Amino acid sequence: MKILIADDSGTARMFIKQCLEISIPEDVEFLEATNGQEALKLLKVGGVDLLVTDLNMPVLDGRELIRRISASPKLNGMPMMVITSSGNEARKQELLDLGANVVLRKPVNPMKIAEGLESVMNTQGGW
Amino acid sequence: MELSTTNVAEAVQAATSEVFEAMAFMETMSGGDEFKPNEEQPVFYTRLPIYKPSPAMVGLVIPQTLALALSEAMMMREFDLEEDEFEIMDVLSELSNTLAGSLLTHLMPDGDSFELGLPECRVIGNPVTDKEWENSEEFLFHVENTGFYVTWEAS
Repeated sequence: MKILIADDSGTARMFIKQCLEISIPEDVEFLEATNGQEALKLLKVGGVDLLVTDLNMPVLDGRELIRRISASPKLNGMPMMVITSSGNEARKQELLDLGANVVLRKPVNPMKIAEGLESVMNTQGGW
Repeated sequence: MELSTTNVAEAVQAATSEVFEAMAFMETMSGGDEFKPNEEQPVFYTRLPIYKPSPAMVGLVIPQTLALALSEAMMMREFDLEEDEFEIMDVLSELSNTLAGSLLTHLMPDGDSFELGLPECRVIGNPVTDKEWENSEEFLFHVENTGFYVTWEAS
């Protein structure tokens, strides 16, 4: 399984990676991006099973990243989990409407991540 | 719509408690004048702008010893203040980002959105004479015997 984590903070990427490692029993390969533009490049290479993204990033933010993925014939349907500090109900619905499968508010922990992964699987019908 | 600032103190306390506990497993207490940051120790000052619903600034003023402890707790490894300064600043930036989001979630009604800017972090040699946050309201907290400020400035 290959997971791409997009967040400009190295701290956040490490935190999320640790939570995902605890929550997923199988071997996972992690890719990392520091902004939405880097994330898009990595996604276009192919093979990514799940995108976990922040919203507040330089160059290309998470919201625009999600919008471009949903609009792309090649990338549309990519499972997407948003982990953000800007997680109130208005923003959450906006992101779900744009194509995100689940929106989690920081701070996260392994249990929240596990619940988020379950939500993604339920909306995607499996990986 | 403008931010309601009548319950900022409550929101700051709730957000600080939630975030420090969840991210660093640290219990924060409000007040503690005897633990205030002083001229004997430099601080890391992290500030994060709020763009919507109305301009504001959230800040975090953390003495070096506490910044070290936070980094080690959050990243689960040892840190060196000099060698790992960049990584420590990244840890504090992420902490500030999460705290600001939590603060605004407490302040804003569910139906309204907010927009945060990107955090900036730097070292301030003397937090008494070089208060870059002098126009901000200071909320004092402490973790064990080390005090720190969460600052709030609404335009």
